[in-house]
Amino acid sequence: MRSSVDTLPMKIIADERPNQSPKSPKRRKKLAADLENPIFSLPALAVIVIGVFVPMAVLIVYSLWPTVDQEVVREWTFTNYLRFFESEVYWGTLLRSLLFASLASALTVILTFPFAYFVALKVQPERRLIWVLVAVVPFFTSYLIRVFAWMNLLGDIGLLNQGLMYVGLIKDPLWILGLNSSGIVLTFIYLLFPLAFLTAFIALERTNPTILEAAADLGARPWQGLFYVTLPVARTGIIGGFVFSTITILGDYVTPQLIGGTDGYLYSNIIQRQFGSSVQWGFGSALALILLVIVFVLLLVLRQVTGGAAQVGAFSRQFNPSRSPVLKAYAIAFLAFLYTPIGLLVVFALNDSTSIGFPFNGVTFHWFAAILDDPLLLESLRNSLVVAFASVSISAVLGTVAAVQLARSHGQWRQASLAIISVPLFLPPMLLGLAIIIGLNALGIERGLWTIITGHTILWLPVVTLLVLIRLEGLDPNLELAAMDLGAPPVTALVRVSVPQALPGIVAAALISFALSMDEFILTALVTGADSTLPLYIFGQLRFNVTPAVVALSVSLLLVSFALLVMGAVLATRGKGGPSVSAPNAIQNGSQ
Amino acid sequence: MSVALQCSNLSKRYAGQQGPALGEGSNGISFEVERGELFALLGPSGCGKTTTLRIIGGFVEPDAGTVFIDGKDVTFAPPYRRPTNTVFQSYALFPHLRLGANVAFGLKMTGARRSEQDHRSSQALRMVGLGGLENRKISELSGGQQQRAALARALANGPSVLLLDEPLGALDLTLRRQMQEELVTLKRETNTTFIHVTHDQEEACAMADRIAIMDRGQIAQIDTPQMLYRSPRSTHVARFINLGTIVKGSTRRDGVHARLEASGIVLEGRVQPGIPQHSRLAAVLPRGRARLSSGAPAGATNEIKGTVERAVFTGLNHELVVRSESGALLNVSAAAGVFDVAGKGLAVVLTWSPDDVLFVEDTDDPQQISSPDEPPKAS
Repeated sequence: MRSSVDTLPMKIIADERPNQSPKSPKRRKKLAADLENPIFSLPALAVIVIGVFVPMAVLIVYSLWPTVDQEVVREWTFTNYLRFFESEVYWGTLLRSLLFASLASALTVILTFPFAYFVALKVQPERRLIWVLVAVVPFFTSYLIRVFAWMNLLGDIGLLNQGLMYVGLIKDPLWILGLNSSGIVLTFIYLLFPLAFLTAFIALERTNPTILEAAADLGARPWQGLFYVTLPVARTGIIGGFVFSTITILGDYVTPQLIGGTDGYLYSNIIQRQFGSSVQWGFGSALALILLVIVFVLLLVLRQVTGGAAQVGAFSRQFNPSRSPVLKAYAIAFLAFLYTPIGLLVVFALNDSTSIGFPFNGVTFHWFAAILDDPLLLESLRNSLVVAFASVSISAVLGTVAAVQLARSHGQWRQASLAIISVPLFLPPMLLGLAIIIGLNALGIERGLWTIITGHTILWLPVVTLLVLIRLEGLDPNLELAAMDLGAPPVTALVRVSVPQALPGIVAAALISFALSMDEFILTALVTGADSTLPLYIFGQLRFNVTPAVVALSVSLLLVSFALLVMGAVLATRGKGGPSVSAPNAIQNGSQ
Repeated sequence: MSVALQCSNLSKRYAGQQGPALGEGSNGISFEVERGELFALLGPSGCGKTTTLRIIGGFVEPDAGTVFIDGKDVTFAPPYRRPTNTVFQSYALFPHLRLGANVAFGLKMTGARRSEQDHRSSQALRMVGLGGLENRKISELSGGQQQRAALARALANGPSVLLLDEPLGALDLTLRRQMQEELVTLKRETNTTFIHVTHDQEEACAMADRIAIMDRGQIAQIDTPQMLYRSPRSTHVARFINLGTIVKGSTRRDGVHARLEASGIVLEGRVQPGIPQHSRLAAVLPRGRARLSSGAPAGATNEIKGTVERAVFTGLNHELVVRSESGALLNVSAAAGVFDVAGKGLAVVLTWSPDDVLFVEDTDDPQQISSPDEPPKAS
């Protein structure tokens, strides 16, 4: 958007006022040009380049240095890579992990698709947002706590097996509900459902529902319509969900072991161990880079098979689908699957018993009060709040400024900037964390709370930038032109017109980032020095002594992130409803 | 001539909506369409025309009534078992398939051989003027080309009845005119029955052999375009085709003649055929059939004195709004040559021959009618 004053549409009414503005036209022009100046997106770019690209370069260098007696020796060699290929333990585990991750992801995507299909195509448009919120809320409850819920449900003495045996449906515990590989898959389906749901839902929701009718009209039976139209049209979402789920599982070194014990010893664990007890940083870097290459390959595959299915022409949002009781029942069952573990946690937190589980002895708030008696917990909570406030504030400021500039730029600069800023979204947080600690190690810098803040800033910066950018680009560009036509200089137009409209987007992005920050474990555990945060504290508890107080803490966190999320969602959608700026793709059509 | 489509007593009410979308209780809509006929369903938003089309296409099940196509009952057959194909308003082209594959889709579904698919799809594309573009992506086609692509895709299946849901709505005026002609030509060449839903009466008149004008879920009148203009049956029809001024007042009916008095205006004319004996009546003064003079009134019947309130020159006509002495507003057209100085404030006398004053059934909602004392509204 060219926003210098002299390209404005001619003023209709002659401006007869004396020149009231103290600023000369030249000054105005300069400010207008300033907003397009790439310097505004430089801070955000710098954070990503220094925080991600430089450490990645260090990672490459380290992977080419051998480790002798727990010290990295500065000699160029491929020893680290050779070691990977020579021992079956390493490449075998990688293959096994890949297979495992793809299997779990495929199951997640397959089981999620009917649910996404139902919400996108069978639910009335005005109720759709509620369904989406209800389905996604569990995503924003603590990752570790969701894992913890499944630790209770699974296993021979887990609630699922015990419950089924109690009602007499089975005699012996089922393997499929055990704390083993099968349990890990079940847990990951649970953890990754919202991701797979959102990608599939967005792809389906953006398609013209009439093309499904068109398929039937042209003679396609329901199954033909599914295979020749629905699935191909939604393939971006389906394959996207699969790829991102696979990347998430490959980068998760906690969940598999918490659930499956030795069954859960995956490639990510091998990498993590090189940086922990083994102190084989060079070898660890090589292993991490191999994982990075795999992630790149997955993303390339995604890029190849998607795209080109953009919607064509205008279409109406007219809604009168056929009813589908089977899909509806499936969707409701799925919601039950999503909420049962969370509901159980609430029950346990309120249970007046010193152990976690049944029988239910009555309601007590004792365990909530007990949270406050633990000094380490309070210290962790304080640290988490500091990290969340600091990282979200920095991301919000840098991200918004970058988004304002990017919304006004075109061409290669914009493409390149967006690509760079988005990198952390596509990388497993484990690799980011490893890169950061290696970078710090190379520079000989001590870790502390600020390293966690830096890591979190890198993670949330793309979230804020992209959400604000989407919001800014959704605004009618004529609004700013109108403001300027009415005499507002470009900066005033931005501050008075665009920023207020983008504010819900900024606040929503900040709230979502805050909730994510309070919950981040995988990167935090790697980059922390001696400091503990809430997720780190919970992790310690999960491994050693789980008390009902931890459950009570989980439930409190759940309520807080739930509140943040609902606030964020309400703000993000406010002003979007109603007949405001008509979306170019949708004709309002009331004809019957 | 044989009957291609027969709809009997169709009615439909959508869950959660006030009032029926189509028909009312046991009183559904019925009509028959001959093979090779272009039949238009014309009406404003919400009149039930799209619901009718969707029932014929199989996307909506009627609450009552039957649909017969080529003599077979298809009322509850799913869309993929009907000899109908639809050109959707949004075109609904498959974005993941190229043009050729879009057009061949229906043939592929029926298991036609590959060579057969290719042959018939390129034939259909040539027919709509898109020959040789088989490998284009849908996103590379212009709006007009997409419209033709949707048409080719529907025709490639050789449907018995082709359903068109406001197919030209998204095109600009020139293109729309051109497509209207092409559709009529295509219909003639393929001898396919076309059911065309539109809210544009000009389009319906330009294309259709017969038009069904719909109003609040009922068919108000089925006739040829010429007959609709010559002999509308109700105020709704007259208003929808913008025939002229509707005048309401106290009426007296005497067989095929009727007389109306309303605030100083006295009108005499013919009662249109098929109007039940005790219906409320209103008079329609067709805009194009008024005689204008600027002289003194001659005291003839159907004479209205007034002054020109507004005059719009449309190129062929002057469209005048004339305020009668009693304050009523009347719409009349005058050929440009006949009436050159149509200035505001000019005193005129309007006269209609008794044959041109049309008495029609007053189908307006009684609660929304202005009281007789108020000046009649120009519609």
